[in-house]
Amino acid sequence: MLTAHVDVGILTDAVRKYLIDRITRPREFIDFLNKNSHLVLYGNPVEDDFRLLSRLLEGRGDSLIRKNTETSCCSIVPDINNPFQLFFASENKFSMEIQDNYFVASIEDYEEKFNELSSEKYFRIGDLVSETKLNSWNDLNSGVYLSDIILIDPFIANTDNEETLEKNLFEMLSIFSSNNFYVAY
Amino acid sequence: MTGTKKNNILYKSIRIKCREILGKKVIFGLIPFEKELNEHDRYILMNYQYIQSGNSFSSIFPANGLKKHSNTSTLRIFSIVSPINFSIMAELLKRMKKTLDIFHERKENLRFIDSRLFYYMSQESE
Repeated sequence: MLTAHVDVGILTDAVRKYLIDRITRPREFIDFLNKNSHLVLYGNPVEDDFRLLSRLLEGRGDSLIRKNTETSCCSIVPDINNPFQLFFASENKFSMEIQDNYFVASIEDYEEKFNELSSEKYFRIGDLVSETKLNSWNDLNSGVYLSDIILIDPFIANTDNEETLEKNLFEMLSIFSSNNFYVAY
Repeated sequence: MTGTKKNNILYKSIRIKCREILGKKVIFGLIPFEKELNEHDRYILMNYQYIQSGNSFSSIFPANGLKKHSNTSTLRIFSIVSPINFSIMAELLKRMKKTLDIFHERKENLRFIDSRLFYYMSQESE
């Protein structure tokens, strides 16, 4: 499971919005934090929010929940060895170390960014139907932050045709590298 | 020129070009293998998503004059926000790490470059 570092303000915002409008506000983000991530919570909720969150965060199955003593996740020292971390902070004041190496979102854009993060795509190669046609490697670039990549393909270098390498491996790397790779200094 | 010698020259030129694209500060490794992984599908594993392809990524956009794919070939992007997808990716990483360890034991691999994507396994074994 991914590890989600979340300020209490984000969680209460999501729950409040959901309770006001259960039809148009999907529950995926709350479910992700509640059941499908290892959650680390930052900040202290006010009493009403505390009751709301206590009920919400019961019965998490295999996922872990930890309370951090910091008031916000935006300036903690992250475990740099773990690439599977997400940061949701009330304010967009992330340290460079977090912003340059991980997925980050603030109260202003967390819903939109989470939708991008959880969306899945399907393409048929050589398809003539425009909706599912893969037009270029750029179609695979979802805009989701990318720091680490492993490509498994026994035949990727099985050609000495320069144009094939240019159009595929090299073009793909150019596109993906525009999303910021993790840089080891 | 033997096949291996030819491959080594090819890998070297690919490695140089990839380094050019990615820049000097990005850690990059290219590991030649053919049969060991015993995997039909091809994957691009990333820290928040993975891509699965039924065909080699080298033939998605064929060079002029080369055969194009039939439209039965598919390519999918999965989000590892879903724990099911996360566990599928974890299983792939586990199998890949096992293969790399075999390379290590045989001392066959030229240079092994570790990836942070293997992180979850060190957590699992704790």
